[in-house]
Amino acid sequence: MEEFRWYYPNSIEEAVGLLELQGVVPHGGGTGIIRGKLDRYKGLISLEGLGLDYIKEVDGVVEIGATATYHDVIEFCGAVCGECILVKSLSRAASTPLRNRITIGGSVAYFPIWSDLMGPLIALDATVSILGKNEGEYPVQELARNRSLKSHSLIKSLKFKRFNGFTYYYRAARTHFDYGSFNITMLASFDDGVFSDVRFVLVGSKAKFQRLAEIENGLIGRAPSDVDVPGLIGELYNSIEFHNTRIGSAEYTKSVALVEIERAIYASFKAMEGEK
Amino acid sequence: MKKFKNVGKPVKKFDGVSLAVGAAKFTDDFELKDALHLSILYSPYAHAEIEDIDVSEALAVDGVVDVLTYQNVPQKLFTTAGQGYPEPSPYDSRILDRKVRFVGDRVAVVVAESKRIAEEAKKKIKVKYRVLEPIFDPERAMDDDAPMIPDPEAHMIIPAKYDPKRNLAAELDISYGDLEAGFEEADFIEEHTYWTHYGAHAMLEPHAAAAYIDEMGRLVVISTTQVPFHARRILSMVLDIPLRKIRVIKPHLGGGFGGKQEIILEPLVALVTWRHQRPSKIVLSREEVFVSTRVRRSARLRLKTGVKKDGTITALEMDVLLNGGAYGTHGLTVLSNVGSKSLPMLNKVPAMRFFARSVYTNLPVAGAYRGYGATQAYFAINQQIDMIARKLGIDVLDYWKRIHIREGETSKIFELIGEGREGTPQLITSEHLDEAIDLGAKEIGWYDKRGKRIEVEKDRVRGVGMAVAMQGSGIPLIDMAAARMKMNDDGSFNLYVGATDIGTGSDTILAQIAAEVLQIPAEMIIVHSSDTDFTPFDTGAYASSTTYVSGGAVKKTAEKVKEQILKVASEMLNAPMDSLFLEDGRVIQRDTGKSVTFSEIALRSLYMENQFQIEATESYVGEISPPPFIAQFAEVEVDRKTGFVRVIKFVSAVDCGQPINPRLVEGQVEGAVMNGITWALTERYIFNQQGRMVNNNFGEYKIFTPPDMPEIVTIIVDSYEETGPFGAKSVAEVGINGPAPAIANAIYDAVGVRLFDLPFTPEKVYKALKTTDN
Amino acid sequence: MTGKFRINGREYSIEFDPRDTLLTVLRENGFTEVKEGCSEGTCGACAVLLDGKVVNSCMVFAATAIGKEIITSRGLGDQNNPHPIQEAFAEVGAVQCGFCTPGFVISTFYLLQRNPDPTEDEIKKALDGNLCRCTGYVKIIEGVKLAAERMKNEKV
Ligand SMILES: Cc1cc2nc3c(=O)[nH]c(=O)nc-3n(C[C@H](O)[C@H](O)[C@H](O)COP(=O)(O)OP(=O)(O)OC[C@H]3O[C@@H](n4cnc5c(N)ncnc54)[C@H](O)[C@@H]3O)c2cc1C
Ligand code: FES
Ligand code: FES
Repeated sequence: MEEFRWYYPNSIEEAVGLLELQGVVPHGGGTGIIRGKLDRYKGLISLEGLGLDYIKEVDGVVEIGATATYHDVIEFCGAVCGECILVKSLSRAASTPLRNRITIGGSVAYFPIWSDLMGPLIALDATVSILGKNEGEYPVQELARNRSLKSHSLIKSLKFKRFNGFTYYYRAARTHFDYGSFNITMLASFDDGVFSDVRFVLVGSKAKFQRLAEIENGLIGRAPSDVDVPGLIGELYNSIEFHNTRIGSAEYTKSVALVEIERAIYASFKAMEGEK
Repeated sequence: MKKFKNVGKPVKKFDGVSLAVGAAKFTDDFELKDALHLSILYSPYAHAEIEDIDVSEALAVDGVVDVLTYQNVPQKLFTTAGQGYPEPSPYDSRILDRKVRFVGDRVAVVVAESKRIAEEAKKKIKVKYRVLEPIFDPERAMDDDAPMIPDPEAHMIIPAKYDPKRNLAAELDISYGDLEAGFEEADFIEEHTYWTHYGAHAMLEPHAAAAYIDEMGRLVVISTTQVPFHARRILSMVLDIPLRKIRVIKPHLGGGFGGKQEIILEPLVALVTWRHQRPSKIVLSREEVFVSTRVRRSARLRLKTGVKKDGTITALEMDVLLNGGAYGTHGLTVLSNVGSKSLPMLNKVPAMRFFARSVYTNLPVAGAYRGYGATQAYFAINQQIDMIARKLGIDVLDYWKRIHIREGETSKIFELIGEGREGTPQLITSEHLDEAIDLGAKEIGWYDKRGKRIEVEKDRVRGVGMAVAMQGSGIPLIDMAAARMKMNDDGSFNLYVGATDIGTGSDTILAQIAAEVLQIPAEMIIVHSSDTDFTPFDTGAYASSTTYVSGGAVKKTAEKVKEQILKVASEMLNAPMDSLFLEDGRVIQRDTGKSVTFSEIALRSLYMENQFQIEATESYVGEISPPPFIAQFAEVEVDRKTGFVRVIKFVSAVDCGQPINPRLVEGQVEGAVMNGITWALTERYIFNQQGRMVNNNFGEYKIFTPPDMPEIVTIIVDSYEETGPFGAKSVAEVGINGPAPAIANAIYDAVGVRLFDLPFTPEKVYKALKTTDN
Repeated sequence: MTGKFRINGREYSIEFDPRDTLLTVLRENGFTEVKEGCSEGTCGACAVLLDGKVVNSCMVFAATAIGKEIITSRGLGDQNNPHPIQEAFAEVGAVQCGFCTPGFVISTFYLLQRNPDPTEDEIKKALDGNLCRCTGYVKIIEGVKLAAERMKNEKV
């Protein structure tokens, strides 16, 4: 067996320096790494000494350090706002003990198809700060699309503007503690009985993640009574495709997704009514 | 209700605190100094012959001590079934074989100084396979052109129909009455085919075994076994080690459910330790447990019933095909139980035929599983009865009350089907199914909900369904249990039982039975169980036998001990024995009120006068197997748009005789219910085209965690079985039979679709809904 | 590599392979109350408290637990002085085979630290990472309720 070692940098600079080593990668919560093939790595960089486990909100902008865990986010955001989309989605992720380990940075880097983090982040138009080879600030979508950005890089934090409107999260799974088959995130704001802002994200389809522009455009500027919901769902029929998923065949998963998208829309109608 | 001191009380399970703390030791928790570690290489092919196997590179790895293959291990045929002798299962297995019969069959075992080394070295074994055509479809297993799966020398050691050349592991064809006339007489025929699927026991503790040589040079095996005495016998036979040189210990066991009624790992550690005279150990990974241990066999059941307009069932024919996978272990007996545990329920049917086969396929091996065939049968029967009742336009509860077997009645089936041989006639000596049905119906709100299709939310519809079932209490005239008890200075007792507590709490309830006889608190009994050196024989933890059979042995033993106590007391009190009675650890003279304590009695008999050890050993064999009865009710919510099914509430009302320990009784039912619910909804073996299970982990083989739970209610019906110890019958298995059919019936009640094929995945429900809608 | 671990209040210097999980290190050093049921984060039998938070020790590299406080079920109580949670579990019949129990005890402890008076729904959610095949969870939930009640009364 090859030598394998741990690095415990005490500063971000030191950590960034280590990223240049071949086969050495950052360790967030380790929940992804530990189940993969360890032979791939020569070493792991513990991020614990870097002080990246912070979460803060300044002027409505939330910034989450890479090593904050799902649990930390739920606690922090839950205390600020009960309807926070990340609280809804991350509370459904994995299990209590795992949420105490899974980090935000690791989950953005890893982005599994069952991620309960990415849908909300995309809907929130979050940006990710990266250090190392590809230093910079990237929209989370770009990072999700371009996986090579990750190599020899360290995710430092992510930022998004707090969203205060209607939030909706649906997750298709066989049991409570299960890898989700797909999930739906909907954010919406209402203004005087019409939709002023809608962000609708589907994660888990063939595209892995997609913003459903059909829905967003179909709702924005309209009152519920002006929306042709069946028509909107019909439009979607050709734009979402699935592989076979844990809940069933590709075709079936799509049917469920369409039903649940429709339900999300109706839920937003109901919320708007409630606001009035 | 009879009055008891210990029986019927929720005595705290003796080892509860020790287990909760984590002090109690399981097989993998024993420290074995310098143990050798085993790692198994499995077949990647479903059906193949090993043409060549080269282990030289693996052997060359530093730290590797041995590599076992078919070339260097004993080649005796045996059955892995942990059953009594002569086993009613085919001798069709070898420790390691030249032929592999499913993906996950054992090819070689690396023995090394550490687990890591063993696992690394395993990768260096080179095997050349001659791939053979596999059979995955049980319906095809007996085709003329189907390849033969079992060993050419495979055989049964009891007379039974067995045809390995045709991949037939077992067959029964039993009938009584005039079937044709019965169907003729019927006003309508209800005939359907049902399918049940594979299931994993998913006990939390993976299978493990360890062995060492004791200071006298004997072989000691510690293993996760439900059957230590069978394990010892089979080890001796297969490895040619004299039985007297083997000791098998069952430590704490992390659940069994039938999955540990198999001799799988013991031969490996025993062989390695005997050969190398060093301790050895193997603990399976979760993946290995799913694939290479045992499963519940799948079934296709065709059920044909002739029914008259007044509801009389005039004839019944059940045609069953079981898929036992690559080896025949438990094939014949599970097959027998499909009929023998279910058909007596319908004892008023004047003509019946039960035709059943169990076949070999190249899939993982089926063994024993809680319910043991009855579960498969009740899936079919309960749906069939629901459909008939609906056709007749009567409430299924009323219908069941008309047709089920009753106290004082018998069924021809008891006589006709036994365990691999003819059965034993028996009368039902206690039966309170009507009460169970009524109490369960009330708790679920049957009359407010049945047929109402309550839509709690748009497209989410509720329905209720029910199922009844019975099981047995041990195998009559076969299962034997023994107990030994001795008295200590302080008036406490050691109770030695061969009975195997696999987490059920049997140590505790056996102590309660002994304590009841002696009228002392249960804590005064120190239980030692399942060590082939120190405890008397017991067939083991299976067939719902422990409470009834082992309990019977304990009661007899305690009664013998009581007699000796009375004898000493009568000397001490100078009073005739029949004037004495026991109370709270004393013997009291009825007339004078004079008394002696148990401790005084013990001290006298041990140290002072007419010295002897107060002790006894007794055995018990059940002459009948009184069935527990259960009525189970499910309330479900079906999402009409997506097919998702959620169980809202599940009620069981059980007649298990007098519960020895009501908490433990409820626990058995609750566990069985949850197991039954997930088997119906989310559990599933998924195989790829090559016959490899692709979801062999808890991430993909889904069982519930607490947030998935429906409300679960368990009702113990007042009942007393005269032949049982303090009125008890069994309870461990019966509860798993109802959930799947009750849920199926509830789904029908909610949305009008009938599901014949387990599991009820949302997609299946969705498709069924689509076809009915159109 | 070698590391110092604080386990159940005592300091241990342990040599281990850098790839080892915390579960392996604990079990190999005699903390066999930490059980291995799956090694993939799905069963919870291996749950321990790491700096006060419940984690699956099979999902934690031992190298990341160096210097931290680790508490196992046996760190909460022993056979003769069980923790109220352990006592309550045994009493209500939440323990059948008991293989899952030390993990449930840890998850329960974590819950009750943070929420001394949980609702049934909160209890169920807090135990979402623990599997039990024997009990159907009914009595486990009862055990948590009983423990919560007793621990509250103890504090008063
Ligand atoms: C049983 C189980 C169930 C799960 N279920 C869910 C679920 O339902 N929903 C869900 O959202 N998630 C779930 N997860 C979590 C998910 O699968 C990943 O394991 C997790 O997101 C990885 O995060 P981590 O912090 O543990 O990353 P690690 O395992 O530490 O790292 C994962 C990858 O990211 C890299 N990395 C880590 N941190 C950084 C960083 N700061 N910068 C750059 N690269 C980094 C690592 O090098 C590695 O390649 C589950 C996990 C398990 C084990
Ligand atoms: S062994 Fe860690 S979760 Fe199962
Ligand atoms: S008590 Fe056996 S797994 Fe929970």
